[in-house]
Amino acid sequence: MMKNSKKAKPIVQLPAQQPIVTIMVNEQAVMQYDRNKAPSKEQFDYIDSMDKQMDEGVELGGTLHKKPDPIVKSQFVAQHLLMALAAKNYSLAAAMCTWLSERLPELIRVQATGSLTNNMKVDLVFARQN
Amino acid sequence: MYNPHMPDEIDLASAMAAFEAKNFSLAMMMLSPFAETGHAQAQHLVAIMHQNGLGVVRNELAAYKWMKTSAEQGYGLAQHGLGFMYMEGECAPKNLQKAKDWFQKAADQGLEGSIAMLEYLKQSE
Repeated sequence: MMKNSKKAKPIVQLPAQQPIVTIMVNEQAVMQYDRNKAPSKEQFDYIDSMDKQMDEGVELGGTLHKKPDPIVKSQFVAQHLLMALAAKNYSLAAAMCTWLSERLPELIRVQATGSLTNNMKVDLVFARQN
Repeated sequence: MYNPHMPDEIDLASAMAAFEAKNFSLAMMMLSPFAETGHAQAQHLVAIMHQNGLGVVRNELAAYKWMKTSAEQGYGLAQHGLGFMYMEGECAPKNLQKAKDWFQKAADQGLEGSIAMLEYLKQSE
């Protein structure tokens, strides 16, 4: 039997994943997503299809990104989440929220300021920023 | 007759306004008493908020409960919403026959979206 069975501490301590993601619009909590509640297969299929579509290129802020990196994708999805909210397409907004929460494990908050119908300033807040 | 336990119409208007303004946490707080007392439109909005995680963490069971309660009262938008839940298997087990039944009830009230969904389901058979 091994005498020294204590687990070694990891060299880098990663922040624990925060379960709740909040979408804030003008300092008001609009949507919440709980990572502890696993999405259905259909929801996973949907966010996979979003990735495939985005991999074919996205336009963000007037710039065409032929091969969008995760940061561009995140900004693109966050913008579309706000557009869906403005259009009262709440199921689409929920799908966008699922993508952000599942693809960005350290995301804790999306902070949008401005008018939903105009260009909003969107910040993604991650756990390690706190 | 005044009933202090019955929310009044002014409160309902404020609750609807909170929903329209996307102040969903407040809307949930204000609409829930109306849903509990049997107001079909309030039940539908509470269902939508639970279904999509608006102002609260998503709760499929509560979404289904309120959507069904509202639909059974004959509220067209809830009948359409319940049809969608059955069609997509979202918040309810997938059941195309039940989806058609609820879309039909909503279509009978003239909801164009439900008429279109019935047509779509027929074509995909």
